[in-house]
Order: sequence, then C-alpha cells, then structure tokens
Amino acid sequence: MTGPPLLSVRGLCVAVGHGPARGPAHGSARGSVRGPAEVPVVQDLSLDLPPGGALGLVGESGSGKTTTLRAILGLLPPAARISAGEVIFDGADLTRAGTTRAGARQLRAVRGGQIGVVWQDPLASLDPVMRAGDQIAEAVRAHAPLSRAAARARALDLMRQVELPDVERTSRRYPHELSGGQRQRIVIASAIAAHQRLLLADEPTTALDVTVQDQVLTLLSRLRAELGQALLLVTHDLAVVAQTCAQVAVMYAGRIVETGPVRAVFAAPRHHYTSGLLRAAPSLDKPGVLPPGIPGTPAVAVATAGCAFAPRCPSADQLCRSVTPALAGAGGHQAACHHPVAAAAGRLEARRD
Amino acid sequence: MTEQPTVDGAGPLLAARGLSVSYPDRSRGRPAVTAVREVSLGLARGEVLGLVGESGCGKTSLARALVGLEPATGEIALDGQPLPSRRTRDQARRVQIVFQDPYASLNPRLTIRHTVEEMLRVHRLRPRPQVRARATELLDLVGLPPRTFDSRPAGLSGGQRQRAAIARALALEPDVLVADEPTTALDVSVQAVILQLFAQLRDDLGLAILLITHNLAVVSAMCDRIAVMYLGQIIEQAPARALLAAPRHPYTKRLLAAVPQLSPGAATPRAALPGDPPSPARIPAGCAFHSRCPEATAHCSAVPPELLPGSSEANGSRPSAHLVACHYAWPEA
Amino acid sequence: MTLPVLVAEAGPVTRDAGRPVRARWLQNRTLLAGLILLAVIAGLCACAPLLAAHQPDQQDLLHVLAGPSAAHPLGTDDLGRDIWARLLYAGRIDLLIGFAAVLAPFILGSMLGLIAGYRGGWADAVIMRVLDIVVAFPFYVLVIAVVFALGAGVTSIFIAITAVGWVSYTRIVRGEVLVAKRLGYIQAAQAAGLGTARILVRHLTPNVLSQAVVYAMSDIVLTILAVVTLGYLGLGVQPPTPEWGAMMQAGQQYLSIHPMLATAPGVAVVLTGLALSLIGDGLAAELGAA
Repeated sequence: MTGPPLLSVRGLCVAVGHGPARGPAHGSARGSVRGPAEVPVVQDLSLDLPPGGALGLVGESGSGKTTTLRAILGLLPPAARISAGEVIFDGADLTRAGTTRAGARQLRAVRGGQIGVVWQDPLASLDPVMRAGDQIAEAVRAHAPLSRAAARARALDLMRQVELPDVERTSRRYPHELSGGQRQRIVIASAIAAHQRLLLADEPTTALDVTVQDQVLTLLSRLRAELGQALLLVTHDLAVVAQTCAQVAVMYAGRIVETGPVRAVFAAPRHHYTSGLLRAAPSLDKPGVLPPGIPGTPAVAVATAGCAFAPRCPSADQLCRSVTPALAGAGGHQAACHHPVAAAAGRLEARRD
Repeated sequence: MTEQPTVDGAGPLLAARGLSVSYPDRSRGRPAVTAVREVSLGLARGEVLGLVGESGCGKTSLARALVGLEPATGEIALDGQPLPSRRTRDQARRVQIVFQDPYASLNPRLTIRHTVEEMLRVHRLRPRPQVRARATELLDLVGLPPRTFDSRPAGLSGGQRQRAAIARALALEPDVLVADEPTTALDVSVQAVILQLFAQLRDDLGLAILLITHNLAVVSAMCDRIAVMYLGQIIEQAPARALLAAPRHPYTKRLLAAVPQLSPGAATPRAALPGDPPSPARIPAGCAFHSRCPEATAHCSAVPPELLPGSSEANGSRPSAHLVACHYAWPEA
Repeated sequence: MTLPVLVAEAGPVTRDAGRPVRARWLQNRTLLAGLILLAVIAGLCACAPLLAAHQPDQQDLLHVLAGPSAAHPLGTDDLGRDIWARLLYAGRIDLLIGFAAVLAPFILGSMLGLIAGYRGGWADAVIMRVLDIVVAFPFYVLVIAVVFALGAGVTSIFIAITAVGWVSYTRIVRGEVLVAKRLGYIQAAQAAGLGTARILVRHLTPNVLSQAVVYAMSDIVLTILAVVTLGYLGLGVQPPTPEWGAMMQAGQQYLSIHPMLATAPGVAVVLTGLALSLIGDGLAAELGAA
C-alpha cells in the first residue's frame, strides 16, 4: 500500500441498547421498555482503504455492514453507540468528534465535504419539495464559497458528468418526476460535488432495475477513475462487488470473517461462510442448477466467545466453539477461521456443485 | 394467435389469451394506463415458467390478473374451463399467490397455524377433526420447525414467514402457484432454500409455478421456460437453456448482459442499455422497444412485431418453442 | 419497482417480539403508571360508600363552608355537604359517563371507517361528505347545541357526544384500512376467495383498530372534560347529583374564602386526565411498536 490509508477503522465496536430503539419514532423515552444489557452489533472491525481504492463490504442482513457505515459517518441511531475502536479519516480521528462542539463542526465539514454518501433509496435521500438542480447546487454551496449562479452552473456540469440527459430540463424537475436511476444519479452528483475524496455507498443499486444498475455501477467506476475517489461499497450482492471493487471484506455477525483482493477471495475463499455464500448465489453460467443454501439461520450480535459461524459450519470443532478466531493469512488475503478452507478443497467444493 | 407450445405437448393447465389489464387514470381525464397488453401464455402441470422484466413491464399486474385480484379483459382458462375475473370460491382456490414482502403477507394477529387452518376451514378441505393435523402436515412440508407453529409472524424470520405464506397457499391445494418476487426481499442463502422448496413442490406435488422476478440468475436456476416482458407484452419466450444460451430479442440480450457476474474475467465489454425503462403511460408506437433499441429501423417505429416462433429450427416438424417479437430476430426469415 | 427490503433472516433482534403480550405491557412504565393511577382513582370512587362518612347530598346547614376537619376531610360546601363524599360520588358519574360515552362513537365511527375504507366508491363518498359537514362545526358548539335541543341530562349527553364524536374514529380507521387493504395478507385472503365479511371481521378489524383504541384513551379525557364543561354550563348532569363540573361551577364564587370547593374537583379532573394520557401514551408505544 502506498502511503497512509485514506480511511482507517481500528477495532470498531458498536453496541445497541434495547430502550429507545423500540419507542415512537420521535425518539422520546415515553413508553420505553426497560431494556437490559446492550447488544454488540459490530465487533472488533478493522479495515483500511487507500486513497482511490475500492472496498466492498459484503454481508447478509444482520451482519452489521450498514451499522458500520453509519458508525463511520457518526450517524448511528440514538440507541446505538461506538463502544470501542476508532475511525480515522485522512489522519483525523472522527470517532469521538460528535461529542464536542468544535468536533461536531469538523465532523459536519468532513461529512459531505470530504465524504460523499449514496444510500439505497434515492427517493428518501432527496428533498421532495426541492428541484433536482437546486439540491445539487445546495450540496455544492455547502462546501465551497460559490455564488448561487456559479453553484447552479456547477450543478449542471455535475449532472452532465453523471450522464443525465437534457440537464437543463432535468434540473428543474422534482424528485418524484424522475425515474429511480435518474434520482440515484442526482444523489451521486451531490456526492461528488465537493471533490469528495471518499464515497460511501449503502446498497446503491439494490432498488434499481438490472439495466439501470448496470449503468449506475459503470458510472461509479468511471467517476472513480476520473476523480480518484475512494469507494466503500456496502452490499449483499457479491456480483456487484466483483464488478466494482478491488478489495472485499465479508462480514458475519458483526465481524469481518474474510478480506482480501476480490479475485483471490472469490476464486478461492478461505472462510466457510464466504464459500457457502458464493455457492448459494444462483448464476447465469449454471442454468438449471439450484444453489445450495447454508443450513441454519444467520447469527446476529453474538456476545459469547467462539466463532459465530460454528453452528452452521461443516468443519466446526470444539476449538471453533470456544475460541473466537482472529483474521490471519498471507498476501493480504485473510480469514478468521481456525480451519480455513484449503485451497484445493475449496475449488473441489465449488466443482462438486 | 399462435398456440402456446407446452412442455409435453398436451394442452396447458393454465392458459391466458389476449389478456389485458388497464388502470383508469381518473385525474384530469388522462387515458388509462395499460399495464398488460394482449398477453397470451400457457403453463403446464409440473412446469416452472419464469416471467422476467423490469419496472413498468406489467409482470405484477399480469400475476394479479391470473389470480383474480385484478379485473382483466381476455380469457383465462384452467384445465380448459374458463376462469372469470370474479371467481367462485373453488375457482379462486385453484390459483394461488405468494407475495414479495414476507412481513406484510401474514396477518400479524394470527399464529401461522391459525392462518393455515383458516384456509382449510373456509374451503372445507378437511372435516373439522382433521384440520389441525393437516395444518401441521403443511407447515412441516414447507420445512418449518414445530416450535414456530404457534408463533405469530413477528416471532419468525423473513424466510420462515415466506415459508408460512407458501404453506397457506398450499393449504388450498392449488393447481397453479403464482410467486411474485418471492425471494427478492430475502438474503441469498435463504433464497436458495426457498427455491429448493419450490423445486420440491414441483417435483413432489406436480405444482405448476409461475415465478415472477427481475432476477435473471434465479430464473436460470429454477425455470423450465422463460418469458421476458417489456411494457406490457411478452417479447421473447423460450425454454430456459435456449433463451439463456441464444437470446434473440435485443432487449433480452441487453438484459442478460447487464447482470453483474461473479466470475473474474467479467471484463466483457458492456453494451449498456441507455435510458430508463419507460412508463406504461406512454407506450411508443410500433415496437415498444424501438426507442431504446440500438438496432432499430424506421420499420420498427411504425409496425409492432408479433410474437412468432422461428421458422427454421433443428426439430423440424414441431413448431419452434422459441418465440420472439422482433422484426429482425430470425436472420433467415 | 417496489423497494426490496432485506429482511433480517436471523429473526427479530428485539427479544420480546414473540413474548406474551401481558408480560411486555407490564414492563411499559408509562402504561403501568397510568393504569395504577386510574385504578386508584376508580377504586376510590367505586368504594365511595365505604370511604365517605356522609351521603353526598346530606345537607348540614349548621356547618356550611367549613374547613377540613375530622368529620369532613375536605370540608363542606355552601349547603353543608361533605366535599369528600361529593367528590367520590361525582367521580363515579364522571368516569362512568366518560368511558361509556366513548364506546358508542368508537363502535359507530370504526364501523363506518371500515366500510368507507374497504368498500370505497359510493359508501366512502357518502360517509366522508357527512363527516365533512359534522367536522365543519366546532365540537363544543355542536355538542351544546344538541344537548340544549334535547334538554339537559345524561341521555342527551350520550346522544350529543355520539353524534359528534364518531368522526375521529371514522377518519382514523378509514386511513388504516386504506393502507391495510393493500397488504399481502388481505390480498391473499381475497385471492383465496374469502368473503368480504370474513375479511373485515377476522383480518382487517383486529389490525386496524389499534390506532383507534389509542385515540379512544385521549377521547375519554376529552369526553370527561366535555361532561365537566356541560356541567359547568348547567347543561349536564342535573343537581342534586354531584358532578365535578357542577362542583367547580358552584365553588367558583367561593374561591377566595373556601378554595377547596372548586379546587378539589379540579385536581380530580387533572389527575384523571393525567392517568388516561399516560395510558394512551403507553398504549401508543406498545401498539405502535407491535
């Protein structure tokens, strides 16, 4: 890795309490249930993202991947908090920034100014009563001292960059008048408006049709190449990661269980969960072949020692059930497993299906 | 109107002819939105037909029309008998549906056992003393553990709820099961299990399944035949392997190319389809796809193509099972 | 295309989702506090004969406007009647009317809401237009007008509140039904050929009434206030039956020399309102989360 990483997460732990999370949406404590101890939703998570790099954070629901993203941004829901670890962006520690006034200001500047975010539902991300062009212009002005006119011009430029057709007319439209793909492009335009160095994306294409998804993913790759932006992509879709990212980290029950270069991990997975996940996805290449599932139900927020995947793993033994494995491995490809899938066996498993 | 070819040559179990579904647009007297335009398809016993398409293609409206939830013009026939929009209880029983959202599919106040039992009781499918046992049998059939039987949906996971919804549908002993995006809201590992359940139902019960999804990979794993919809019409229909190996319609080709691939070496040149799926409120003249088709000609914008089989296929006398609605699909023609 | 919501396969993280309802509700502090307070108030009023040494209309003209004493814990009013006794007996009336007078609007309004929401079309149009007319009048104006027209008394109060109060329930239930009828399980029931009546009763009603029930709690408070207000205006429960509003009205003139007369019923109304609000809030949290 050349130079220090742009984003570095060290030993991040996020815990969620039971109380206000169940109450009315406005977060009042009235009617709250007396909740007992907090539950660890993310545990001991570490990752590094070099400038301009692309990392896919993959996991199923309950794995903690979205929570990790929110923790990085400091946007955890009231019931959740970072209980340990740190988030360092461009050398600055963002973890505790929210607690002081100066820190909060700095966090706001970083969020949006240096880190752009694209969420899953573009309709929810955009202000329904504000025209598309104005929303981008607002993002531009929030982080650069431009006049209204200059900001609007820049917004139109950005819209061209994200391949929106007929930018003049589109910029005057309201979000509900645009299609899903167009809305997501507006959101992306806002996320690159301030020359952000990092783009965080949470399932950015899950809500889109497959042809539109293809367009948006291609766009993201192109923009990254042009702007040198780093990308942290959170998704459940392994194929999307294969198409857009160079590195991948697989999450299960709040921990990273495998990480490494995408090609290496997908060709020869070392963790049994990754291997199961890869085999469980139906593929166009294997018509008529029903993929096998992974027996059991996914673990969420496991607080006890031992590998969280052990109950579902064909190779689990007493060691696995008692000692939590740490990430280990050579050449950047690491897996948290006491008995990693042997290279030859892994390929054999894949071939047998 | 071409007869729909079937898997074994016998008449289809479920046949739709010239089915159209439109929604009146009451505001400002705008014309009705036609979600499904003169669709014909057939489904044989024990067959899984995959219906794919993107937003606005009308696949959900078609599904609802087949189940009787949406009024439609045209004919639907089950085992040769006509099936009107307003159905008798017994008619309704024979075509059942499973929805996408496992959270909303079950009555939150009833235990899943009660949900299934109610179906048995209302349709008098079993005498009273046997209702409970039959419900247990059904819940068991879909692979739910006994401890979940007396839980309410809130205590079940997404995959379990979906299985409960399938059990409820099966309770009515339908001939046809329409599954509208049944696994879209589920994780991949759970999806695999549900798909296996569908396959088991097809094999053991001879159930005919119409699987509606936008996920082409799922369709390729599960289905015997695939039909591709665009703006309310079926634009290509063929046995699964044929369609996946050699798609004929430009839209199908682009759709397949757009699916992200897992294997490295997915650095294939991406001929991305420009623009967005159009709205069914504004259907282009001629071929509905011509506005986005890179191979469109003037002829395409004027004359809508018919869904026709290829003229020369290897199997000689039998009409080809591969149907395409494109003027230029068959180079030999 | 509907947004695919990735569903937690591992099951609900909240541990209490499958637990029996009662256990969950008892842990809700707000709800518990409200229920206890209401139980205390209702209990005191119910045991009025045991707790009050005197009859509520027993006059003692030798001891008018007396302060608190051993014989009269809260003193006496302008006719020498025991305030404590009157307070408790009045409570019975007010609480009873408050709860009962909410029942009819609740039932009527919910039924209309179900029909309007599920059937749509003509029924919906007619019901909503009638609703618009009723809503156009301020609540009290209409209630007072009806009571005035029918003559003061408990029956008139019931009729007036029913005739005016059903609208909120109809709106709430109709809104819930409009949403619920698009949900999978209702559509599945329709697809399975279940009849309208069965769908309405078995499937819709239990699932759409929760918001109406929460509203009913606050409505009881409003109804009690309405009864109290009508009593204050002389249109409600007629003397000599004790009633909190009437007591407040009577005690008004003696506020400087004998504040207890008006304050005691006032405090009673406030506490009852507080209890019902807490219950409403607690229920809202429970039913909203459910």
